[in-house]
Amino acid sequence: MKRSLILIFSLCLTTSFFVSGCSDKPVLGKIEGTVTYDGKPLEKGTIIFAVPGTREATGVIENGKIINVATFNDGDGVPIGEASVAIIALKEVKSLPAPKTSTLESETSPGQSIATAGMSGQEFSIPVKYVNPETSGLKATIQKGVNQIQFDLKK
Amino acid sequence: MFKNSLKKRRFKNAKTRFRHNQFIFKPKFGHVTKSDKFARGGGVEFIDYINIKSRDSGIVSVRSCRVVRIIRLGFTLVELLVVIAIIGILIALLLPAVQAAREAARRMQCSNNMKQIALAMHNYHDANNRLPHCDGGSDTSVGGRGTAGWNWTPRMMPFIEGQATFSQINWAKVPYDRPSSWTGTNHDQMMKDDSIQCNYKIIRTIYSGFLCPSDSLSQECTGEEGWSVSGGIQANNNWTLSQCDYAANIGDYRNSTGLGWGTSGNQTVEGHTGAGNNLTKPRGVIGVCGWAASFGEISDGLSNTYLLGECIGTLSHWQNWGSQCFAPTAHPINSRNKWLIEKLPNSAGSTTIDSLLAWDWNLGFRSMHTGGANFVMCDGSVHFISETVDGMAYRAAASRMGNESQSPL
Repeated sequence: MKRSLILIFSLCLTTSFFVSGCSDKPVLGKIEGTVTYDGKPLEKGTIIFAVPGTREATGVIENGKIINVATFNDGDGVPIGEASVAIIALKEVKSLPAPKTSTLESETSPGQSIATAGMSGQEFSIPVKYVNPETSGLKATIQKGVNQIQFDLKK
Repeated sequence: MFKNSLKKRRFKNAKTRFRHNQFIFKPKFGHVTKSDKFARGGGVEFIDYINIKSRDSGIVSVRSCRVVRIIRLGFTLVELLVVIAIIGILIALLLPAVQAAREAARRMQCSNNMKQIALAMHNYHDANNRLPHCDGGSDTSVGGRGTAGWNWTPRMMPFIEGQATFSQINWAKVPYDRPSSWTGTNHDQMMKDDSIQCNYKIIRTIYSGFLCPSDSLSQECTGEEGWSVSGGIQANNNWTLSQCDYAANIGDYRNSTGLGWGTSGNQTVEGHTGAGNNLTKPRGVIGVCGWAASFGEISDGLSNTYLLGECIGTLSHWQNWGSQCFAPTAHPINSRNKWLIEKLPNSAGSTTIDSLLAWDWNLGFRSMHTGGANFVMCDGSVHFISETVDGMAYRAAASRMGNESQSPL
C-alpha cells in the first residue's frame, strides 16, 4: 500500500512538471535608484527602459525614487542588456475646466470633462528630449540581480 | 471442474460446520451438496481431511481444499485509491488542454469581432471618405464635427446591422443624457421602463460584437467615475456603462496624454486630444476630438498601421462604448494588467486614485489573452501580437506617417 501511494505521488509530480511547461520570457534584472532634475529629486514621473529586441519595462518615479519597475509583473525588473532610458514628467498647466452639464440634469457627463481635465491640461516639466529613449542620451546596462542606477536630468 | 466437484464425498465428522472464505459448508448426511457449494456462484471444493502436525496442539485434522473460484463482495481501499489517482492524473493532464482550447476559441471569436468591425469601418470609409471619428473630448475644433461627445462605435452601427440602435440616438445630446427623475442607483429600473427613451439607455446596452469573449470583466455594464456637482473627482458607481474592448489607435505616443512629439520649450506637440495649444492631427488613425484619418492620410500603408487594438474597457474611464474608446502605444502590451485589476474601485464614494482614473497607466493596448493581444490593421487583417515584441517595432505600427522600417508583424 505504502509503495503504491509513493508511486501515485511520483506520477502526480511528473505530470505536474509536464503540465506546467516552460516559457520563453527574457531574463530580468531588478532596478533600484534615483532620478534628480536640476539637482532636486524628480517628484513624480514615469521611467521607460527600452532594451532592443524585447518588450519595454516601465517604472514609477516618486519623490526621486524609482519604484515598481515592471516588465511583466509588479517589480520584476528590466530585460538584461543595454537599455535606453526615457523619463516622462508632466505638470498641470491649466486649471480644470468647469464640468459640462447635460441639458436635463445637474449631474455631468463623466467622460468628457475628465478627458480635458486629466489629460490635455498637462505639459512636460522636463526637457522633451528625455521623453524618447532615442534622444534622451540616458543609458543603463542591466545585469542579472539588483541594478543600482542614477540619472541627473539637466534643464 | 463441475463434474468433479459434484462428486459426493463423505465427511469424517458430520457435525462440524466449516467456514472458509465466507462460505459455510453445511454437511447434510455427510455429503457436500450441490446447493451448498454453488449457491453463490463459486467456492472451494472439498477434497479430503488431512492430518498435519501443529506446533501447539499436536495433530489436527484440517480440510484439504482446492479453490474453485473466489468471490469477493467489493474492492479494497488501495484498489479504489489507485483508480481514483489514475482518473485524477488523466483529468489533470486533460484539463489544461481543454482550457487552452476554450481560450483559443475565445481568441478566435475576438479576432473575428475585430475583423467585422474593420470591414464595417471600410464600408463607413466608402460612404464618408473618412474613418468614423470620436468626439468624446470636449474640444471639437480639430475636424469640427460632432459636439455631443459620442464615440466612433455608435457611428458604425448602420454598417454592422445596428440601424435600429443608430436611429434611436439623439445626436444633439450627450450620451449620458437621461430624464432628471432618473438619478442615483435606480438605472436598472430605468432600463426596464419602455416609456423612457433616452441616450443613456443606448450606452447602457451591451453590444457583444464590441466585447472580447475572454474579457470577463467587461461582459456587463461596469462603473465609471464622474464629476460631483460640487466639482472634483469622485468615485461614482452610479454610472454604469456598456464597455468596449476594441480601442482606436490614436498614435505612437510615449505617454497617455498624447504629448511627446515636437519641442518642449513652447510645448509644440502633436497631441491626440486636439485641445489647448496642441491643435494638431493625432499620429494615429482616430482622434478623440472629432478627427479621423482618411485612407489617403495613412502614408505608412494600411497593412502597416493599426486600426484597432484590444483593451479592457472596464479598467479605464476613457474606454467605453458610448463616449470614447482609444489607446496609444505608451505602454507595452498587457502592461500592469494585474495591478490595474487589483486597483479597481469597489466601493462608492472612494476618493483615492484608482485604476479607472489613472490615465497615465490605464490607457494602453491590453487583453485578457495570454501572452499578447489582437490588433487589426487598417487593411482589415487581424494579427495576434506577442507581448514580448520589440518596443520600437510595436510603436512603429501605431503611427500612420512615421516612415519606420520596423514592423511588429
